Amino acid sequence: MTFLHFLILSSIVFIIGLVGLMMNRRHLIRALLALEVLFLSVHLLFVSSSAFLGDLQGQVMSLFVLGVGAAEVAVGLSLLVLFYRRYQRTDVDDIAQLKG
Amino acid sequence: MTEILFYMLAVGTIGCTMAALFMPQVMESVLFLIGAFFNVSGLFLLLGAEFLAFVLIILNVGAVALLFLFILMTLNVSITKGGFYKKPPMVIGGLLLIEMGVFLILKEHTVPVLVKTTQSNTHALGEVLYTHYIFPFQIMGVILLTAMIIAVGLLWEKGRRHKRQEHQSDVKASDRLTLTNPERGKGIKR
Amino acid sequence: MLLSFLILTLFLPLFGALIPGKYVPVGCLLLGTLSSLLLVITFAADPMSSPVILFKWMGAIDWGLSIDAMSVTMVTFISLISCLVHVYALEYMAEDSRQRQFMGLLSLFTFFMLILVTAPTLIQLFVGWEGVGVCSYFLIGFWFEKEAAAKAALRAFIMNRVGDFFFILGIVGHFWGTFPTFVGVSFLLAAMAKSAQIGFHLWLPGSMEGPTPVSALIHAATLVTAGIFLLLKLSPFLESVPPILTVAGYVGGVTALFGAVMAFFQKDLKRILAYSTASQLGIMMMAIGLGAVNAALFHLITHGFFKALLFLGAGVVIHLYKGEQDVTRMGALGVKAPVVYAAMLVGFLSLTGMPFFAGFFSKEMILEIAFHQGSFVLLTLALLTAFMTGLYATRVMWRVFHGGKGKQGSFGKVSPLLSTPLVILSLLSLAIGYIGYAVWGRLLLSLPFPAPLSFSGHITVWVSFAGIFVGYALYGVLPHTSVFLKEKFPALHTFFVQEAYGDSLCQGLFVKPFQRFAKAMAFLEGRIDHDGPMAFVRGARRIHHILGRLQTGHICHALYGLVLGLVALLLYGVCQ
Repeated sequence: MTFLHFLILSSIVFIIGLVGLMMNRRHLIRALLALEVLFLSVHLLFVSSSAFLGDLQGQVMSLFVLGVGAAEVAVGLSLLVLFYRRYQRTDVDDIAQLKG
Repeated sequence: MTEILFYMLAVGTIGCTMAALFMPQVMESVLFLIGAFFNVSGLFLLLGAEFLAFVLIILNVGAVALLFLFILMTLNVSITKGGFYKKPPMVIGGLLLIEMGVFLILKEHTVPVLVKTTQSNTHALGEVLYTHYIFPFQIMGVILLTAMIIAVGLLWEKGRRHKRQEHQSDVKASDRLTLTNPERGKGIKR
Repeated sequence: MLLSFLILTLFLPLFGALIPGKYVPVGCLLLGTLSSLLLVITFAADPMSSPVILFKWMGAIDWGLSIDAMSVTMVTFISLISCLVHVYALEYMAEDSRQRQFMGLLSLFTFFMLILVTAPTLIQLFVGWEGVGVCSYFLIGFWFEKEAAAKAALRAFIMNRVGDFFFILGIVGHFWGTFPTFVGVSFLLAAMAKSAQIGFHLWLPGSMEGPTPVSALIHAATLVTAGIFLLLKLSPFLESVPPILTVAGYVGGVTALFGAVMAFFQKDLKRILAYSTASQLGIMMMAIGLGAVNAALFHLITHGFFKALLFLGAGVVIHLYKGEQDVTRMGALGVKAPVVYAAMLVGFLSLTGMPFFAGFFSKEMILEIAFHQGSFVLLTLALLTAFMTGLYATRVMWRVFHGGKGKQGSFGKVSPLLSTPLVILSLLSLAIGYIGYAVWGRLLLSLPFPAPLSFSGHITVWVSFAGIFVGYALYGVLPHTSVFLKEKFPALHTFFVQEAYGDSLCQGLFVKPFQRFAKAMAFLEGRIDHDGPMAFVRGARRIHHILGRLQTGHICHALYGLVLGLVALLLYGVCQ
């Protein structure tokens, strides 16, 4: 159980989250889930480095990320509801209004 | 002992996250995500970060995952089958994995050893958080408040005095529940 | 004291121009004239000549007022004429709906001319020069509903712009201090354009499309005198370049004769006076060429008075005929409007240089200088001019005021607002010669010939008299002679009536080639545009179409980009 193990674990989780995010074509909600997974890998990285380096900064940062993540989920889900209200579905592919 | 625990939890984390992202039913995905949270908090405990381990469970499981479930239940979306893009994400993910592996394993690193602290983790964190990080901490609170206001503001509908969950009506009792009067000896045919 | 009077005189017209109203400009001009009279009295008591610098611009260029005999004289003269023209315009333009605008423009015109004559530096002089040009554009084109007026205004403006161009060249050259001949030629061309010398004279008859008060102001005090004034101001410099002076003399002489001949053949009353102005300006130019600066200034001022008188009189005549300007359709007005008759008579006698009238003193002086300097070509030109002047003056007087076939019917009474300036100008035309010669000239300008004008027993007067006599013979005694001559030499007659084909020449020499040049340039410009900047535009558009496809608006595509970036970054990290 070395720092390297944690690094590898957190990068694997990160890649899983990223691939999940890219694969998903239907649900906005699943994209939000993938974001949660990405957050999770970041937490893992922060906390492990904090523990191995003996510096509490990492844990403090993790705490802040937790707060920001919660805020993100709240806003994201309310956007989802809004989107659903307007279009009666949650397909990511249909959101193409960013096109210039 | 810790080695075994670490590997168990690591495998659990990877399995749960994969399941969370690739299960066809969104509802199941959320449940696996909760599993992943538990595994990660176990890892935190191994690292000696008790406070964050419990906060992770309280916040992510108690608030975030619950919010997901709440939304899933109120919106009628969990029934749609999830479609996936297959090849390009896999290729890119594989590339990333190889690169990270090369980066982490082949390059030389100075690997620090786990530092044991005598002080309780929560105590130490509190001392730092309320002295040195007091302003960022307060700002985080403001961010959360802002998020709340945004969430309310986005879903505000004009001309309505009382907030009411309109989409309750989307899921009717008849969608979920069928009241039948089965004939004796024949059962229910669907 | 002196300075405050000068500033008051200078800026009252501007104030009048800025305050809308019919009577405000007139009041301002009256006050300004009063102040200018006080100014000249103060100055006569204590002559000085030094520019007063009010402030500096960009650290190098002075803005101020030059106080010397010439500028004080000019200021008084301009204010006086302008004031009378304002009073006259009050009645003359009473039926025009835009009279207030007209009065304001007149005041502004006066202001810029005053700036011009008090300028201590060439730059400030240029400001006045440009201002005068712009105001003349507005005033000549005041009745812009008439196409002819709009065109005439444009023509005057463009001709003036040509002068401005040379003026700027001259300023730049003067600033460098090299090529004195080049600088002299530039200034001479600028002055020729402004003062309507031959070659640049075409805009002057055209400017007659403006209202008569404007004509009076332009021809007497403001616009055309600017060119002469410029050369007067630069005379110390010009004297260092004798060839320029010689050229100026010949240009002046030729213009003088040309103007007088053209005036004889015109039918339009105001055009006759316009050519007469060109002719008199030619005489001034000739005086400058002879180096007789003060004589030129003297003639400028006497001419200003009697030409203003003539124009204002002509305006009354036109008013009485209800817009008719053709002298061949007039006649026998002398009995019906005696005041106008008397005023015009004084004006024309002054113009021809009859003894005791204003023109006599100044013209005689210039001719005498020519005689003494032995430039007999110029003298001959001037004498011929004097003869022709007598001839056309008689022709106008006879056609308008005597003649048999006048338009019958009742004429209205001449309003006192119209006749008062006429009377004042008549008296001044009578008196200004004496005042100028005896008092003002002696005191301020130290005119070169203190002795009475005695050149060869007043040969100028006799020549003019001969002109008048021949004119009387042609029109009064033998009225058929002119018709006979016209039928005998039709080509010659057409040549003169068509103003020496000046318009056609101008069209053929400048307008047409320029149009062709402009067309070629437009074509070339189109090609350059098409292959230059527009090619870039097209290329950019093409690239934009290609790159625009990358931007689909789908979130997952943006995500792919993001992740691919991450892959590339890591690859870089690995390879290092």
